Amino acid sequence: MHGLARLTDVWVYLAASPLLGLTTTLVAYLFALWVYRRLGYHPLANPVLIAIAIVVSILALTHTPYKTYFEGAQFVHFMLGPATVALAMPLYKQWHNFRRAVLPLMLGLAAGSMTAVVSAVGIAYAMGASRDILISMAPKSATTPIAMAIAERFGGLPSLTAVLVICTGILGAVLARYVLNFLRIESHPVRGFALGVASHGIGTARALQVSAEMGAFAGLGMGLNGVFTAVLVPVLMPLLLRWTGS
Amino acid sequence: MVEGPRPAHGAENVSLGAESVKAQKGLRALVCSQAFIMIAPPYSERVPMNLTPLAILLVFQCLGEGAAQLLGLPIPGPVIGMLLLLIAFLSSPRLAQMMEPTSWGILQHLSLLFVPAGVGVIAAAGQLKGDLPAIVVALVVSTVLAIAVGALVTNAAMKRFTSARQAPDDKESH
Repeated sequence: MHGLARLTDVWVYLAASPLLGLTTTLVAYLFALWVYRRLGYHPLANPVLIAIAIVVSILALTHTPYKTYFEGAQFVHFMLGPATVALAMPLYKQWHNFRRAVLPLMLGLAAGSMTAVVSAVGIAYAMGASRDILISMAPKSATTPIAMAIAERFGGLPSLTAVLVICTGILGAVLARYVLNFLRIESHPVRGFALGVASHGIGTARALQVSAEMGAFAGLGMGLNGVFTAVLVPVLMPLLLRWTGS
Repeated sequence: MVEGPRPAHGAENVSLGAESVKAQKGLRALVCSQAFIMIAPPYSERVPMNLTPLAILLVFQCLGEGAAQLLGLPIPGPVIGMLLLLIAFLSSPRLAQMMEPTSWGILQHLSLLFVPAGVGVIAAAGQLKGDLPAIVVALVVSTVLAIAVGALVTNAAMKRFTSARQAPDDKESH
């Protein structure tokens, strides 16, 4: 009994320190990566979703409030900023592909990006979603760190945006093949670019599995759409919110 | 090289008793440090996470946040920082080369960074329940539409643009 009480003391001590939140995040993510690898990098076994599910379960089982967990996890969360800046590297590496076809790529980017934002907000509004959700939904095709920053800036729920962005990525990675085959679009640069614009890094990872060329253009689409969405949503969102009267 | 000095030291060990324990510790430290020097490549390669690139990333983030604040831009600061860094890369390929390992290093584990925020969705779970059907339908339909429209427009523009480029005479005759 005494031993158990001491164990409880240790637990109370650890649970209150930021160490536990940080450790849980890292270990859950490593385990999720292992599962992802074991399942042959299947898009449905997305490591972020698995890690989130594990951490959510642990918090629920131990009755730990999110705020306590985040005190530790914020150190990981903070790195999102520098990581976003580091996205300049893949964009720089793809610059020659961009210069080869600036005009068609910009047109495709504008079309794909606007379709993603307007259709998501429009459909969610038509089905009665609240204003918070409309805002969190708008940047879902951009890469996660950029999308979260946009949602935060406009008073959405960045955590919801993070989950929506990942789901969009998985949907794109799974469905793109059928959509593009149905449209009889065979060119790998075009297929990759459209996939990268619509479903960011997860789509890009999928494109890389098909061919290096498709992956390169998907990476370009992802990078350009990160920037484009960051410019588009601030311009478009006030208009959309006015139309929807929210 | 780790195995080398051991036999000689082992012989000493028997005769010197307590004093040898100290000596053994010292030797082990020496062996370890030498092994480290042998294994570790020269300084610049040895540090896996060079601090300069990390500092540069933070400086560009600061520049981006500062610009966003100063000019009242609605674009997130890190995105502006990314654009500034891209401009810096394009004007100095040497900078890009220096930043490469650290940049890829951070990006390799980019998805880990979403976990803390993603977990926060449980905090919002209550208010999401009623909106779940709207969210699911909007996600699926809009992702399919975005891929389709993006691909169709890129494809059409690519064809028109490329043919115009390949046949400049044709373009002039228009």
